[in-house]
Amino acid sequence: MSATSIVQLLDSAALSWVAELGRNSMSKVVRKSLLPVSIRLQNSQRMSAAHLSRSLPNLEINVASAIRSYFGCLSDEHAISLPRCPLGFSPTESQLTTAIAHVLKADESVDISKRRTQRFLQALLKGACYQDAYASAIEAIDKAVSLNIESEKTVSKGRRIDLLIDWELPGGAGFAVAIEAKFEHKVTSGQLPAYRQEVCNRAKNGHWALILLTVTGESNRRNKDWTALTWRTLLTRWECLLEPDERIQHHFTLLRKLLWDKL
Amino acid sequence: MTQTIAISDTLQFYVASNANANAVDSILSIKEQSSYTSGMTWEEIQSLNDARMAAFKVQVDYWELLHHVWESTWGSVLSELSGKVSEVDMSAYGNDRSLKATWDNGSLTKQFVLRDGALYLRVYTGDDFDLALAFYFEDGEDQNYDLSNSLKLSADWKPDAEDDERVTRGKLLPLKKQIEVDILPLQRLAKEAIEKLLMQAGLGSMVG
Repeated sequence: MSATSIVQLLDSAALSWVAELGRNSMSKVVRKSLLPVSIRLQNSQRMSAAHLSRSLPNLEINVASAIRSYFGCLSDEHAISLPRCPLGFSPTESQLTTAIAHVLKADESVDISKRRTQRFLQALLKGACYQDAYASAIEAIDKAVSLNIESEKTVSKGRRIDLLIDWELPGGAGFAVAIEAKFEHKVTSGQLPAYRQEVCNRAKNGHWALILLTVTGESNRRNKDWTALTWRTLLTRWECLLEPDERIQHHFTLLRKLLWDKL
Repeated sequence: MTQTIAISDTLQFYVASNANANAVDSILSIKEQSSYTSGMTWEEIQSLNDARMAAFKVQVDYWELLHHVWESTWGSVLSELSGKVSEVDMSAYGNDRSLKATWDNGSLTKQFVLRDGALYLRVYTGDDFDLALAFYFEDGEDQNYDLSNSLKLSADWKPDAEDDERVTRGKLLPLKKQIEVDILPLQRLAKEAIEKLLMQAGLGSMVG
């Protein structure tokens, strides 16, 4: 696209002041400084009109759209809509992972437990390199011959896996997912190898996944087989996977709110 | 007679529900670190980028609203004075005028030199996202707030200072469910406050 065409496009996007300045100075430096960061006008780069029009939104309208689109299901039933929970203290990592295990186990119903666990695992493993391998296994949880959900599982030398989920399908295929969940504390390198061994033992046929769940998403260089994920990404996905009736189950909603509050 | 200020679509969205406000606040709390996209798909990152830009726009519009209201209230009154007050050097504000500070504090304050003390004039939004004014005078010699604390102001000002600051009564100008707000009441209150402060300070009536 020629510089003249770009200026014409800017006019039509109601940024005539930018176009006016652009007419007066067509240097690359001036154009770059005038336009939003998302638009990079380089001499060698051809910018499509569609891309430019997307990069020059009417922000007055798109704010609501962008926020709703990211959260996927923003409504009064979304856990984030609740006021900050007035417990008078901030739950610890251990308390929260214990609570997650508790709601996933859902003492009131095996079916509810399986469905909640499916949603949680789908949110956890979306985008992971083994997502496809796990997708059908997670869908099949409702037919699982066994489903174990544990928190603070002691493995060795007093070390404990924060969350451990394993299940076996008819035919003997076994799957295990270990989650090291951190809010304030850093992961120490020595923890993760011990957890890996436990997960291997739990999963038959070697189908296991290791997730490092943190606020900042940092990975652990010495343990690259652990997939890093942020709590924010997990919670955003998890909320969108829930059915409306699941979203408003009080204690379950409260737990998700507590997790949001920790971010 | 009215003096209306438009409430941007972005701010209308923000105040429309707890879900909207908490969602925007959550996006704004994201710290820029190289790893915050860990585990996300490309589509999720693009969606988050758009959401961050949107949340930033809400923050910008909030700053602009407060600044516009300040200029239309306190600023309008001060413009009628002739040299009795002067704003402090910009360096005195530090980072208090930033988007983040204004957002986190929910207020915008300008500081002036008056007589031998400092005059602080503030616009803020209350807990229910209602517009309000506040001010105090800090005496340079005695380091007290007696001058502003002792003023007898009209009923739309709270009768007593709060933490040595005079504030307008709550819910005077709610912004929720509004597309525009008439700030004439705040203009009148600002004028009253400055007039009485100058009289009390022995500087005479300077406002026409």
